[in-house]
Amino acid sequence: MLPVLQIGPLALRTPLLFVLLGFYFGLSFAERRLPKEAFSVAQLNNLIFLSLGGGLIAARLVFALEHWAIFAEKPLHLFSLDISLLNLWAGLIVGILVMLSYSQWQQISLWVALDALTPLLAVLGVFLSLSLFASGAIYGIPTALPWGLELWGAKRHPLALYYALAGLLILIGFWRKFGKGSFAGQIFLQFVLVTAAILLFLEIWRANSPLLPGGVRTVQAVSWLVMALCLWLIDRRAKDQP
Amino acid sequence: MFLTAQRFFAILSLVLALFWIAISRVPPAARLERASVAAQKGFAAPDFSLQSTGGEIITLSNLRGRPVILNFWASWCPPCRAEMPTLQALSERYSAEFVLLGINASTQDTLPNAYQMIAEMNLTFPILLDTEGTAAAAYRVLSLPTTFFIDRQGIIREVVIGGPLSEASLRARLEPLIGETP
Repeated sequence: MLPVLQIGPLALRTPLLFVLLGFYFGLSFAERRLPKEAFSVAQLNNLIFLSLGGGLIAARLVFALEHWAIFAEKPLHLFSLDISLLNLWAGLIVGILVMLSYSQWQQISLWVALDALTPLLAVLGVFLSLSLFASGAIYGIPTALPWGLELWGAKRHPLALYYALAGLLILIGFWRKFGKGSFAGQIFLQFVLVTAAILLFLEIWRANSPLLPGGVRTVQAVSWLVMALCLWLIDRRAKDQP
Repeated sequence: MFLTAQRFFAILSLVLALFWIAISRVPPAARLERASVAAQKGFAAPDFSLQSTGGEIITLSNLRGRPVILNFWASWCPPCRAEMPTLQALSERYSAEFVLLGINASTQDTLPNAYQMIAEMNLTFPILLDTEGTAAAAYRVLSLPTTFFIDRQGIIREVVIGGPLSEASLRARLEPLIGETP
């Protein structure tokens, strides 16, 4: 765990650094793997930056509504550079809606857009895992295994590193498949399916899982639903192909 | 519906996943680990006793029942200086509802400089002197400022590394803790 990298007077927040690096490398990789006949680089960049921008604005506005008294007193906080003043779920939902609207406006098939974004998501997955490792926000249950890491008072499974390793294996596995699905959306759906399956599998070693009643781990329940949806969509879309 | 090999494996994988979810369920005893002591969100805050600049010994566990903010700082650290007026204003505004403890990382600072900063900024909330570095070690403080938000039960609810913290950020974290039933 290394939440801050101190270089002289400069304190770099490593979790944020990993996310930015993930975006940079992911975007470069997605551009190279773009099926140019269906999608231009400019369209890809617009899709990503409009979704990000829309998502960020919504995340800040919803956070401000949640803490109305604070922002009503000092409205300039709306423009604060503090990234903790965000409602991430609102940002995610609005980001997806912006992506859908842009795809429709540009008359790009949503499935083609999602396939084009998959290389970015695959690279981002690896870097997000490293970001979680740096922050120590997700940690494993105690273990006596030799690769356990001392963290929060016990030797623990380095869960975020397991995520990173799994993400790397997914990236390698899909390396040659990007942009070569037999139907639009296939690569995206397969990528989401495998990612959900791995999250479901690894969650058993997580110490700080959010829980549902009965001790069921929320991430596993959500991952199972995502897997079921992906399998159903793959089956349906494959059947619809001429 | 005709059951193809692909559909069979899809259903099989979902059934196996359900089995995995069932054996992964967290038993009630294992949930207690979250209450163990560590300087991390969701854990009990490590206890300490430190002398304040006023000469009083303050023990964190004695403050149980009230929300606490711990702010580790040093006089040479620009973001620490930048967020101090906000912390001071917050301590004045909510003085009856929570406890703000400024912990001077005295092993990385000099006491004259620390005292000078306290005077310059008219800080009236308790400033503790971590002369041995024990609190900084217990809280794994790697960078200054670092701020911990602790609830009435003594559980760390948020850790913010770096700064300066804005008023909105501080209030958005503190007000829910104050609003919780004692």
